[in-house]
Amino acid sequence: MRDLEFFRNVSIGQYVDSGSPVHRMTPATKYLWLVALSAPAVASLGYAGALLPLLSALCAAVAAGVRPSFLLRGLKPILPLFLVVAVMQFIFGWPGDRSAVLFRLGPFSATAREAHIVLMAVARTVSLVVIVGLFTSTTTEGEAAHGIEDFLAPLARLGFPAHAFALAATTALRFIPIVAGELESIVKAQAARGADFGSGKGGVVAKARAYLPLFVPVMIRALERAEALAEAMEARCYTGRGRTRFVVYELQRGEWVARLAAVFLCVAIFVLDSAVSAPLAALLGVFA
Amino acid sequence: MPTNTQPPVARIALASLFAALIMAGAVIAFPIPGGPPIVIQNLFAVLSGLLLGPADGALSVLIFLAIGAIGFPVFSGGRGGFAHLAGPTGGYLAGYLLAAVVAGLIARRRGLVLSFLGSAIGFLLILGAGMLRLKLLRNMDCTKALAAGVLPFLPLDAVKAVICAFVAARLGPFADSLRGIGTRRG
Repeated sequence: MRDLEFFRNVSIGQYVDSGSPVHRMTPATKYLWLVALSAPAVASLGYAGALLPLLSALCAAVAAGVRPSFLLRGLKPILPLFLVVAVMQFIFGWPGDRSAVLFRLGPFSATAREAHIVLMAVARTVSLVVIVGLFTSTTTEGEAAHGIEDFLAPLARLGFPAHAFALAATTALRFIPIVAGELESIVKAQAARGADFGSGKGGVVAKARAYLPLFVPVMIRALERAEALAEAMEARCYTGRGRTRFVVYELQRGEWVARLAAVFLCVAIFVLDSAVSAPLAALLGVFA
Repeated sequence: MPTNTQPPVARIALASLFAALIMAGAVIAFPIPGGPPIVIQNLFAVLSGLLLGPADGALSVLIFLAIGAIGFPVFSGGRGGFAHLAGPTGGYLAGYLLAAVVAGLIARRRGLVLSFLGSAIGFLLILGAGMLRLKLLRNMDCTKALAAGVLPFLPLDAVKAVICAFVAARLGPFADSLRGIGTRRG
């Protein structure tokens, strides 16, 4: 039955409760830092813009009492992806690529431009993984969902259901273990009755039919859960209007400084990046 | 006089349920070396459109994408973060949104034929969006992108499309009654 217990070790999020001043900041500030560091990591021209956010995030992690090694561990699942990107660049050439050839292997060759593309992809991805890891390790699910609502507040004026969206996001996170448990219990129930998944013979329709005894009960049970939730909320006169929160986020001391610092850092990285990238590229001979 | 832009509670509950189903599907992913993994999440994304309609289906996929983008490990194989969204398999994720909307529009009226049409077109849209992204990012030509990003998934996605159609035809009326469309259950 070991194979059927899909969800024993699933944990969503990786919150590290160190109680640092960074943890105590409001979600809005954390989102601001998330965006301010991610933007240059995604959209920068060169290495400086891709790696400075990484450096900033690691410094912030130290301030937040989160070990940098903990954040870097998040890179493990995507290491194979780097290899795939590198192999793809090696095999497929770019049309009109006249940069220096670094080495050849049979009909394939690695050029300086391809190496640059791979290194940039790695730098950007490493930065983003660490930045996002910093966010999730300092922000609980509830804070993240409330933050979404605050962040979408301007859109709410235009008619976007920001509150409903945030509520649904919070509820969805709560639903995951419930849905997973339902799925597991029904797979077990069917297996106990001798059900055989995946090895069914016959055409597409026959195979699909074999899975129906699994999906229909799962969906019915899940829909009933949603119905029960909706009824419970309606019974408590939930309307979504003028709703206050159980947790009220208070601005910490110096939080406006932290917000301004995020904006300043973002602009500074972009400025530095555009100033440095061209000479750096020329130095490396990438576009030669 | 504040306008009430709040959808009924049942619709929010259903949208969050399907977002949770898509996220819980992340645990079940079989990797294929060198390409995108086989996932069950696309099934739930298409199903959300079929059962909840285009708007609420899109809402549940959006919730899934938003929670994934800010770093919770809800994308296939327990990955998360904006990098994944912008990466080579991000096209499929964008396709989920498209599929939920289009499948929902096609299957507005209940019935096995329309449900199947909606889910088949939904799966094709996911594959198409995924292929386009692979093609752009890895500098492939069409045949290579087709071979890497579409063909390995066609047989299984056909099975999934049929499952979706059956489930939607069977549970569509129930979902509608929960959402307050048609007859409300006593």
